[in-house]
Amino acid sequence: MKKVIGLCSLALLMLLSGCKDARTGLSNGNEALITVGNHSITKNDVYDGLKNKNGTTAVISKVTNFLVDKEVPVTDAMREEAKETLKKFKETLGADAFSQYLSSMNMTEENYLEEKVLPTVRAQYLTTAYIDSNYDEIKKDYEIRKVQIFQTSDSKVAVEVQEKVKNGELTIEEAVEKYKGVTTTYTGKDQIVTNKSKLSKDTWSNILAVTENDTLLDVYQYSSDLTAFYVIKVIETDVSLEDAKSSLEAITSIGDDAFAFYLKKYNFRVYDIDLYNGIKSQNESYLVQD
Amino acid sequence: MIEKIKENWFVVLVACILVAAVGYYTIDTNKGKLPGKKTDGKDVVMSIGDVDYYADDLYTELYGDAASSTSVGTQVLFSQFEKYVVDNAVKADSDMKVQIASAVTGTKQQYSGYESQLTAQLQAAGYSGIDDLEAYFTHYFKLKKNIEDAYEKDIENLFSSVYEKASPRTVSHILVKISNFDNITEEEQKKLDNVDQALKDGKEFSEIAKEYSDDGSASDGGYLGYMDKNTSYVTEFKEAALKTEKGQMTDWVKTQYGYHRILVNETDKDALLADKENRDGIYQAIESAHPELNAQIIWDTAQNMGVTFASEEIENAIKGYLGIGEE
Repeated sequence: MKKVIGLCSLALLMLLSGCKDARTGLSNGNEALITVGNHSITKNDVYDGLKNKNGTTAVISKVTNFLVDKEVPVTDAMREEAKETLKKFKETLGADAFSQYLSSMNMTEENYLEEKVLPTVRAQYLTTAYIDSNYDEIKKDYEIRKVQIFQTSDSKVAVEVQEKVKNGELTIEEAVEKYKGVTTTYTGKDQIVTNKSKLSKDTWSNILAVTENDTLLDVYQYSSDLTAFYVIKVIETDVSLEDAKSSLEAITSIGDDAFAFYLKKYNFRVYDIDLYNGIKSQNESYLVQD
Repeated sequence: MIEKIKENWFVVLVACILVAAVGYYTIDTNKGKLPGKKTDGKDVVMSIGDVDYYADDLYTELYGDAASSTSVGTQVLFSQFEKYVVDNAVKADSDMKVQIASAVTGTKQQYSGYESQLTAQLQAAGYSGIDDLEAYFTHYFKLKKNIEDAYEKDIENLFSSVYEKASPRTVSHILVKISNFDNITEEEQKKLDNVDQALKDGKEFSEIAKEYSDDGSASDGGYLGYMDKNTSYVTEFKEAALKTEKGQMTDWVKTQYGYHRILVNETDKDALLADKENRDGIYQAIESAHPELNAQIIWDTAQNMGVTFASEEIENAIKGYLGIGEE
């Protein structure tokens, strides 16, 4: 009977021990590095400190290297770009400081180029790869449109330009050139806008309502605080990948979407609560595990 | 066995119900908990694709060169070493406990709405997050006390070298703020004149400061306390204060803030040391004059507690970090 009770107790203990978030340790974590009096500072103590200080960055760097190895083959152009970046970094830091920096990480210049700089350059192309393979979905999510915009802070100018563009006296690009002193922000040339562009809700709704290419919005538009007035022509409602690509690459949220997409594709999972929380505070979308 | 179970059927039944209840409770409380992973007996920190990344590898990568005094690992190891040494060498008395509680409350208020910044700063200092704020300040005040207690043991000597090189003194001032020096307003001019008249009438400097000074020190009679040539006052103010004798007052000194009248209260070494109000200034002056001293104090404190290192490499890296040569 005692054996049964003993087994039950052991089972309960094992079950209860699993009730905490996982926190990792080293296989030889109890080894002392320094002993002061009767207290030991162990490898695990230092590991926890290192993990809190730089662990999240190291994990993100590690997964970035993995993803670019899988998705972005190295080209000569990327290698040149990486060398150039390293050269500039070295010049900015100065030779001595750079050498000390490398030594603090226990790396050679060649290691640093291969393991740190080149992956960073390749990571920039991860977004490009994502856009190339998922453009139809991105187009739907981001409601991509090609437009021409004239912007001014003077409503009278907006009325005048709206009328002239409507009558065919001026194109929007010509209007920007003509009203150089009073127009701001936009060039009047074809440009890509998405639902992430900083246009007012009403203006954006009016752009989305257009179904025909080359349509001038009926009336001039305005920002919600009435400090900016726009004349807008929708050039294309179904924008090609080629036309949209470079604009999309510059949108931060697409970069994050791309990273999260590939993390999910390769089933990224974190098994340490400190690192999990670190990644969560940096960018929650990177946590793709259930 | 079956006979025994039959004999104790009630106990077995209760045990089964208990196990089932605990099992259910355990499964329920484990919901939402982050699971861990081990491969070949080693903790995995993350996995991607078919690659596992181990805690052991993360440690090696983050530590850097164990022999280097500048590696991140050496910095973190030193920080834990210093934390243990100081936290055990100094006991927090009731005054310190009040200081810690007040610093924790003040910091939380200051960072209200910006908690992620505070967390990042604490993590950079080797703490896990805001829950460690009390531990952070406990260490901060204990470290301060450990250093200051060591200074006190040799304060006469330490302050002598500061005294010879840095011209320490205590000063007070009256500030009349000027918004535009090219166009001094009637009100500003009137205040300057009133100060001059009051001084001429022989009124106490501190009383005039209380009445007219535009500085926060007005309520203390314009008293700024300890300063020396390394104090970070604006140059014009500092230069004027340093060339004035004890008990003397400057003429109006123009700075970016306005016009100041500066009174030098004390320059005598023994008198400066005797006034406990000057201690923080004196401690800062000593630290600035002897930049190697604090590291030596930590090292000596540790030696008194008994220290052993796992390897000569680690000992040399820590000594290098502290800037302590071979003994």
